[in-house]
Amino acid sequence: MDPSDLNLPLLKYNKIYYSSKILERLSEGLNKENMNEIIMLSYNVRQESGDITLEEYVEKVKQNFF
Amino acid sequence: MNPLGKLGNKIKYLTPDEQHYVINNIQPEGVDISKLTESIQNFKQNKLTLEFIHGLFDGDGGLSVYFNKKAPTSSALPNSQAGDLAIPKLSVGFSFTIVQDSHNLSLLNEIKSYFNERGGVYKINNNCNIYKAGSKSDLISVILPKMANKESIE
Repeated sequence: MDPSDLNLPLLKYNKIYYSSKILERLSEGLNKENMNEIIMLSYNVRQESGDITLEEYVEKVKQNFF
Repeated sequence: MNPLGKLGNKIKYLTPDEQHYVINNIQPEGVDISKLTESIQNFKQNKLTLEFIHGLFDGDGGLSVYFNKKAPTSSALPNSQAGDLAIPKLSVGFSFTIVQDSHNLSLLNEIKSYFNERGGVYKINNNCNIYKAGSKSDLISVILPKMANKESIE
């Protein structure tokens, strides 16, 4: 997907792009091998707003779910 | 569409009599509205376009991913995974939404129709309704490809 194809601001375009990437990865199921990558991709489509770095986000998800 | 909602503060530019007509939705005597009535009756709504949906998604929409933790049940796991019991079962959820004023409920139903009847329209409160789709298969097969104007998201 090329951002210029869509008349959307980058923030909204990113949500579509990264959701697609996560869904692609999930076609193999969620497993130990792809979990880290999916968590990192989900940083761009996370629900909560606010300032949080990628590293902080990954750490937070891992603390909450592992 | 709520006429008062569209008027907003502009109603203050009307005279008190005019405001009374608008607020109470009264037709002033002697005003011929036959052409307006005819125009409304003959009104044909344009089909939704991708650009319009993009505008709604940009202004009133959202797409997010979240994680759910499910405690694994040992009986549900095959023997080969018995060693993974310490790892909670994690699932990934999606939420594609567009929110509209309750006066635009029909628009949300049109959006659902645009997305091949995938997802649903729900009431949030007396003022708002929401179109929501969260199924992975709906997102993969219909919603994201349509939003990206592609045959598929790959």
